Amino acid sequence: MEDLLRALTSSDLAEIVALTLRVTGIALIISTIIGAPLGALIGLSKFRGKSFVRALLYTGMGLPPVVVGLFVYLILSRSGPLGSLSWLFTPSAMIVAQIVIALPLTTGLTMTSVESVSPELKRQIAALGATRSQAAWTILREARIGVTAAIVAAFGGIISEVGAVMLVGGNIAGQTRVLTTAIVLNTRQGDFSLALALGLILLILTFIVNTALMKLQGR
Amino acid sequence: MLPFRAHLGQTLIFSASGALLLFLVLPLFVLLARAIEADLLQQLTQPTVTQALRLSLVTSSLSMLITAALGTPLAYSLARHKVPARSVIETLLDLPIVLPPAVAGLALLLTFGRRGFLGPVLETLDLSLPFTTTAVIMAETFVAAPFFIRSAQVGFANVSHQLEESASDLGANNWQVFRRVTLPLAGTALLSGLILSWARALGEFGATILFAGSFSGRTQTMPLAIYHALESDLGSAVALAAILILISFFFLALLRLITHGRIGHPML
Amino acid sequence: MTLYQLRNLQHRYGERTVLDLSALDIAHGEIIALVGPSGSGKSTLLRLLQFLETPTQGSLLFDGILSDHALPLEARRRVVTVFQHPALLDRSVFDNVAYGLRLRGVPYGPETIMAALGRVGLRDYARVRAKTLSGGEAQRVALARALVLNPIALLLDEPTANLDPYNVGLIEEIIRGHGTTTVVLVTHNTFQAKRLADRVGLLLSGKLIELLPADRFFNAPLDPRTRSFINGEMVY
Repeated sequence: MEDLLRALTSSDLAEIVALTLRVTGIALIISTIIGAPLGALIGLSKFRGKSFVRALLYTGMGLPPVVVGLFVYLILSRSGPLGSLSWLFTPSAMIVAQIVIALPLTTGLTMTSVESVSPELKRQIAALGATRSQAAWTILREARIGVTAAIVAAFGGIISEVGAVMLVGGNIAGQTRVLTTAIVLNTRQGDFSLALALGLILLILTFIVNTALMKLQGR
Repeated sequence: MLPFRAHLGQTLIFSASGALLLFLVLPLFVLLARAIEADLLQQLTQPTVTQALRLSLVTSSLSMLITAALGTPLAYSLARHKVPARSVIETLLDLPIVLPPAVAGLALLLTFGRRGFLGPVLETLDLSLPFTTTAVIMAETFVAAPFFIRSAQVGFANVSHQLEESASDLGANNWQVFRRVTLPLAGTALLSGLILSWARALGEFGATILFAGSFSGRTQTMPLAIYHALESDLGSAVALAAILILISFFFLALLRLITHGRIGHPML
Repeated sequence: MTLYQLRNLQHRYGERTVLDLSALDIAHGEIIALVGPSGSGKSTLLRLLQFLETPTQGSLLFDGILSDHALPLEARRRVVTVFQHPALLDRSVFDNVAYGLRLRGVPYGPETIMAALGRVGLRDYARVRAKTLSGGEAQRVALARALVLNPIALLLDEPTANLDPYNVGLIEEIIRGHGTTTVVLVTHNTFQAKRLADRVGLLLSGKLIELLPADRFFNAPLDPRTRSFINGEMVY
């Protein structure tokens, strides 16, 4: 218990939590900015190849995160297409990996929530004299709970992510060590109390997120 | 739906979708190009690759066998019988879905580890679970089983009572009713739940690395092997990732096939 | 004074012709009821009159302007439809009623909205979240949302089909007070048509069988099919 308290008040821990929130926060904001409008656009429109885009999104959601991590690693590695950025083993690399994991989620879930707005309401909106962009905006507002749920689900997914983040971040103390990777490292070094403290914080964060998610989904 | 043309909107959709496509597909091509460069087929005979592949298939299959064998009766009871504290059980079953894998691995270690909660009991039985292949199966089952149980429960709940009743009116005993009526009707839900679970188990990383470690041939599954191969041999990492992608595609296609395209992902 | 003038109008979905009208005139300020079994093309006709779709063939003249294949937002905004299921937005009752005005960018004060809510007897419901209303209340809000726009034509697609007698009575009273607004009422309820309409028309399989002043339609129809429909003998 004393160990746990010591661990909870250590400055390392504050640093790890801060980095975790920064990486996941930035990744979430970017994947929301891209994913929510894109998902809304796809959900609102009919076009050839839509089922292909849909299948692609599902594949993106189903890919093992470690594989995503390897993608990002290859792209950012010195000989990769974006190697000149020297992002590998920096927080930027972790942000990129989390964006790639979160983007199919925010896009796909926004798409389904926009699509689930009833056709009757869509017809009524047009009959009340909405232009196309007015109708799109109204439908997106109607789907706001689903869109929020998409963002929350993405947050829960990427803050818990271990493999991809370890792969591209390298788990360097003080630089790329986040909650999940720190839990792995401390457990393997036998420092259970710090691992527990970190696990507790991660649990609390995901608990808050999941409670919010269930509230949103009305369960 | 809306009765006006919007070339601008369409252009926007196409360019935005195109950008997303590129973003999602480009890495795949990079990966495949690397795989070919690294001579994928030759990589497939490397011991790191074959061992990880075999271990992943064996552990995930066993984990799914356990999940199906124990999860089906549980899901059926939850769907059909009056279960005391049902909502508590359901919440507990949902927990592993929302639990971060690293925390799940830590929890398993603190429960079944040598110094863990059940450590003394396991020691008297001369059992050591952590860092064994059994630990891999346990981690995969822990993380993946809830997906199956949830899906199976919904499947059983949707089978009409009337059909089961008429079957028993026709003289079928309980087991026959279950085998001949309930199981086939809930089959799609069971199968899709199993596929989702399987995909989750195959991609498992966090819980496995904590509870089972990463010992080549014993506990190093494909995701772990990808991580470790990066330090030594990029070629086998790429080969393993290519295999995992192929399996993911296969699972997705299978899922869409058996559910007639209704389910693409558990969250949708 | 003709508001809508339809000539040799055909509407097809793929190979199927759902509407085939040689002539239909709807006058300014009248209440016209269209009756007929489901699938007779009534709702399709309303979609055309609301400019949600353009007719496959033939001409539709609206207030002296020909509606060709360019779908006119201006025309669509002068007409409003209330459907069978009140599709309300997940906002307050007040915001629902104000929605059409906001789309048009028309400045309005709260008293405009409250007056519209007063017309349907829901003044006290302005702050209520629309999703919590009963079916009858929701339909009255939908009606207020349409009336506040002061449309030149009000199109009603089975507006009381799912409601209790109390709400049916309220809504019919509101329709009767339509003023100068043209009302096109689609219903399968011949009694409602009799109670409300100046003229009544029968649609069968996309064709207008006949269109007569209400008393003649019910008492002395020309077509035997009209008589059997009124008497409830029509098998469909």
